[in-house]
Amino acid sequence: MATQVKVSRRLRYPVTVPAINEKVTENVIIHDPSLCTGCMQCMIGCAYSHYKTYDLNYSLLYVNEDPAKLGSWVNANCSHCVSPMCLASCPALAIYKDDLGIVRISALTCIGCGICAQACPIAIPRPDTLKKIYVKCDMCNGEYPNCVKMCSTNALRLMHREEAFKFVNTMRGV
Amino acid sequence: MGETRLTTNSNVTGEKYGYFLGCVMPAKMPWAEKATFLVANKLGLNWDYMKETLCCVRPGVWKTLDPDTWLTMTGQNLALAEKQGVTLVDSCNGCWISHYEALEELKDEPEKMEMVKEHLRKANMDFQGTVKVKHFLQVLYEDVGIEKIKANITNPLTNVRVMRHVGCHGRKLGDDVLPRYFDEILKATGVQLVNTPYDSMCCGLLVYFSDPKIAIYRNVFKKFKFAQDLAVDGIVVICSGCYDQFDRGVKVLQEEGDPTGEITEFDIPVLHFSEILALAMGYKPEDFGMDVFRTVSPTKLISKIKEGK
Repeated sequence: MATQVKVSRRLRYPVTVPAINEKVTENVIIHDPSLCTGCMQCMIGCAYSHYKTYDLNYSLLYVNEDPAKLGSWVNANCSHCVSPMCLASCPALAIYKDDLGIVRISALTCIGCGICAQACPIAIPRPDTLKKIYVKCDMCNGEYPNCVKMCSTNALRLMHREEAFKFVNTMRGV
Repeated sequence: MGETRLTTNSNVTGEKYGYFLGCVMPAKMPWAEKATFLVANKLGLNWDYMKETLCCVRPGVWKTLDPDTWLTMTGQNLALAEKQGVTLVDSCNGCWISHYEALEELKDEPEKMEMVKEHLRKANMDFQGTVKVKHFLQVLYEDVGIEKIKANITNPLTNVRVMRHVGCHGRKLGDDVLPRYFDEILKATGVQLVNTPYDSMCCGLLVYFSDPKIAIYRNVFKKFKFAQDLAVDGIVVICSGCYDQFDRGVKVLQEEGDPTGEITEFDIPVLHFSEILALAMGYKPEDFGMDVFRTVSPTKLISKIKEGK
């Protein structure tokens, strides 16, 4: 995580951000609200695979009812961004991308300040109150994610990044 | 469990169906079990219980805990159906998804198939993976056909207004398969379908073991609030798991009361899809014990049907 890359993708002028590389995961988790029933199986599967509990509070992705539309559900899950805001914001340099492009928080380096959660547009990192650090989705270490496996309606899908980009744009009507 | 409990259609030929009861139906919904058999017999299906079954092995729990145990135990049901020479039929979405997904996974992954075969061999069982798994709705819509169902409707329930609940796993193949079959068959019975924003919301069973409060006060309550406000005659379900959750949720809501204080009584019955079909096919409520052994008795609905208003 030593190299410095100029990030100019969405900015008017290049900004140098430490410890970012262009490595990204091949696939991303995509949520289709039209299929979601709010059953929370994904959260249960996530909590179990990471903490061996069915307690929803331990999940690393979140399902909430859409306040703008009754009976519709939104799912916040990590996209393992090309240029992660969480990574850029971390004062302890505890957030890094691994060889697969998975954005991770180092449990040893994290100081639990929570800046990453504030920087993330959808507040993915959450505090682990026991370890006093922040934790986030690790894509089940590159295996087929348990949340996708557990989804009862196929609302959560694992898609190739480019295909996912097109799919989300279609859903948004862009 | 067995042959003596209900009259089965042994004289007909055609595809042999083995009806997998699951855990909730024999325990909580005897009327639905009877109604299903009445409907199957009326439609001339080669219908019987699937015998010597295990639990479907609830996928929501076992897929997270130990996928190999899930595959092996579900594989045993599949192997039993194969041995009995029947098409395994589930009306509970949970049972169906467990059997369906396990079969798909075993067909796709030869290593898993070998592992399951190895375990089953120890119990002197053989499994080839040739068995078919169908949802009860698939049997009705794809095998029987909507025209034949319509031809058997002798008592259209045009005065009955219902909300319907397909359930999560029922949407696994997309909304054009089971949810559409569900709607079309219900429409064929003449009932009026009342749409609400929460029609596709989960019943809450899947989250019940994690957080009963969310399961009851978010999922069940929201559905029943709409049902009470719209004064429907019932909520129609196909899945025994959903019935189990609604039944338990309503019991809690009746005891604890409405958290918002708006609803004083929860009196909307939860009906099984087969009951509606049986009634529309001319059977009387007492033919399948419709009014017994329920948390909310459908007394109003029964009198409405009898009066024909």
